[in-house]
Amino acid sequence: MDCGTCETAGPIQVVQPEVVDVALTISEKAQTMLADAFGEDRSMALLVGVLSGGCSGYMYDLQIVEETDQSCQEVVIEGFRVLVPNASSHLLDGIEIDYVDRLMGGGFKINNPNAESSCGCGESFA
Amino acid sequence: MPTAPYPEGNLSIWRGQDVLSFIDGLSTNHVLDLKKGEFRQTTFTTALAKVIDRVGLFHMGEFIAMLSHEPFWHDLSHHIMPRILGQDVNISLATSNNNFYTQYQAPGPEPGRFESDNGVTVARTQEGLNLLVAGKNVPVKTDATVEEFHQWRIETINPWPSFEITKENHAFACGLDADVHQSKGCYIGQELLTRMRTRGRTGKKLVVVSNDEEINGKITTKGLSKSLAIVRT
Repeated sequence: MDCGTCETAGPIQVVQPEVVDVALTISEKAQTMLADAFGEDRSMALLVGVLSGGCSGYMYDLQIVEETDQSCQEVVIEGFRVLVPNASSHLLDGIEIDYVDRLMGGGFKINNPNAESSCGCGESFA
Repeated sequence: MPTAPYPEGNLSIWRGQDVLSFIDGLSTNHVLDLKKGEFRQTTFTTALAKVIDRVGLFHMGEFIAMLSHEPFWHDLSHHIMPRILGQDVNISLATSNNNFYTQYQAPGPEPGRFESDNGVTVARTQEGLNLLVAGKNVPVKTDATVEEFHQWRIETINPWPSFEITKENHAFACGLDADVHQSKGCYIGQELLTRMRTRGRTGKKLVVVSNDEEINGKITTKGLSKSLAIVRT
């Protein structure tokens, strides 16, 4: 096998989608839960990203972070820092971060106007 | 050791720390635990569980080499590229640097592994077929025609891209049951495939039939006296 590390095989160009200035909202319930999670410390941020995979092709990725090495845009809502990676900004513009209080399938939930479909668990969308 | 050319082979080189998790999240087989020296086949499917392509992954240590089917590369790359997002996944094409061959009724590495010797890499599939990737300048003697290879496929019920493995068929219909992992997490098409498997109803199935037999289905590879067909079950 010739792995093509020579000059004849350049990397395939990945056409990066346009970076969108993300607008997002956080529901009151989600703000209450974030306040519980963060306490008084507002130095931490909620990173809302998208990974490939899941039943529908994309999966939400929620993390509480201090910093990230991803290129992100920061949105501050009611004192909460939300980081959105530029690479997935086109998929996350207009989302609402909600919290669903249920014994099964409860937790943070993303309502996404860009999603054509989503799987039953709510973690994956297309 | 009948060796036939496989002119539609396509080789892409995948580098980056997220490669295996990326492929695992988008295809039917579990590949996260693939280790250096191992070979595994997995299938990319649509939301309707139709096949985009079946690929073979060689873990080369520094990178993953993916053997796929060149006529399907356009669709596969369009399926893959928008989903890379910010992940550490870099793909280059090495098709033009290599020639591809199939080898059957031949000894080879144990299934799930590959061996490289003098510029020729040989992987053994679960169906007992050797897949060869040889550098462009490495001579490989072919002593079988593509037609003879297809005749062997019919006798052993081995599905092949553009014949059984097509975008019209789901993974079970074209005989790729071994590629569909029983317990891995979600991927595109998984809900349908899991439902088919647990209910034992796949709708269609790959079988070998006599040429004079009437079938409720479609001949996919026509042989001298027998053929491969996907029939309704």
